[in-house]
Amino acid sequence: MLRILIRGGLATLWPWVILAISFAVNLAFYAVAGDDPAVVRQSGGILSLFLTAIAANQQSWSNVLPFTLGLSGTRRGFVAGMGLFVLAQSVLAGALLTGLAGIESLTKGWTMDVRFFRTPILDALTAPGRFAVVSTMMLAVSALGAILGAVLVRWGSTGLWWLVAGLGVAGGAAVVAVAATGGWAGSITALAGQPWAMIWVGIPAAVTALSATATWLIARRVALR
Amino acid sequence: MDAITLAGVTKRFGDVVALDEVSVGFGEHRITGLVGRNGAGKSSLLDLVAGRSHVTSGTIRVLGHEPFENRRVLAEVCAVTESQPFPAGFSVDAVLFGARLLQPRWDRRLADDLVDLFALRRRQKVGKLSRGQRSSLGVVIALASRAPVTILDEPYVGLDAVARRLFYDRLLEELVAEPRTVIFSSHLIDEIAHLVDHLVLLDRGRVVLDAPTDEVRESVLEVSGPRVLVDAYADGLPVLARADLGGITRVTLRGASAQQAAAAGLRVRSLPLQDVLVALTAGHTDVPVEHIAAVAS
Repeated sequence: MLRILIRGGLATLWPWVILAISFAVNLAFYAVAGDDPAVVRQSGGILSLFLTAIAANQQSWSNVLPFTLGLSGTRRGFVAGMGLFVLAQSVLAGALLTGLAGIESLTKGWTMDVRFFRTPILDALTAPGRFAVVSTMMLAVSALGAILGAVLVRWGSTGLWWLVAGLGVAGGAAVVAVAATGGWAGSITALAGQPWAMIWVGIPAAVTALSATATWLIARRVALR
Repeated sequence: MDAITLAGVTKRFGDVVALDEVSVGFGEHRITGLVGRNGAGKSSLLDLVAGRSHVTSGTIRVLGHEPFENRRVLAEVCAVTESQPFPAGFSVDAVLFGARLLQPRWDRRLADDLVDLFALRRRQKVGKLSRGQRSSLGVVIALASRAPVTILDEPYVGLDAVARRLFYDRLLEELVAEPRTVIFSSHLIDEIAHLVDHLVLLDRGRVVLDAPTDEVRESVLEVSGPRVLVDAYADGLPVLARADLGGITRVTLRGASAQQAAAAGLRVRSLPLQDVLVALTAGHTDVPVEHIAAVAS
């Protein structure tokens, strides 16, 4: 499975291409902007990697799962292969982005004081801490993409809309329920008071575990249409 | 011995019953033609055998085991359908690479040979292939897989007559060299008649015929002659179709004997296999022959 994903299409590599383009555009922009004090030196370009990773993983699922089943592969084999692929990619992302943040720091923002790979949230962390956060965040967005892909393969685009609508209703109801009990401010304070590892590693890891479980429950009965 | 058996298999899609208590066997090393009208349940049956979907009730055994999520069984199965899901962004080469990984008996040399035979360009993206080229790719996979159980569900859609003939010839060559259990679902019945040695006819989710091809071909005859003689001969036999013109009557009969009809002074004609199946599927007596012929064409 891993080899099929690597050999065919490589949809999950597109986020890196988008990130590279974003980085190049940022460098060009700051080079042209020079020392203009009105220009904020903090870029948000790194978010492109995480946002596009959702779409890339969804595409990998909706394209490669039917292909695999069509060639007598099993759902279990596909899920295991995708899991390994995403895990490897997330570890690689953690190492690469941590390394690039280090280089950015050493070169004083690529000699232009640009902050592309460094973000204020992660500044306080050591390299291993940054690695852990980036890797688990990448895992979480990949798992979200997987659940969208699995829903798309099993129930089509209608299923996707039902999922989005369902999550909207469930999320909205939860927010309203917390607010109705007067616990909104308390919840925010309690969350902010958690250690960084709980917020930036624990929550993405929980999202990954939940999404992976839901994805398997959906994928295990997928029929090829 | 049957390589594939279905016992009391029902498959439902919501309110729609695609297969209704189907019990049938597919003989080992035999080419079975699976035929029937659109919506008869052919693709649903093949999807179940190939482990692509699961039964609502009943049991399926492929080489003695349940196929759904059973990699050991599925490694012995290759199914190619008219709508085989090839990712549009994959090249022909990448698709063949995937097939090689998932089909343990893959014959790379045969695949290369077939790619050349069907003039496929290895680097071309699947999304850029014509309908016929996509079918050619499916045919390459079906043949090169050398899977002991090979399932073909209208794999030739979009192929021209020459390419179809190439496919049939290569299929026969491969089967002579290395026998497989093949289920071939097709609407081009007369075109595959020489390939299949057994026929299973589905109608509205049920098996209505399960017999050797020759037996099916001989089971239905068209008899014509003076109405009185025809009526006398046809008395007691199932009449699948009938046409009267003046004093001449033409009937399509099931279970008639060519020798007896000829001895009774009647003209006897064998029908093409497709017409036989149309007559059987139409399933109504007194349907005008002209109507059946029109449907068959």
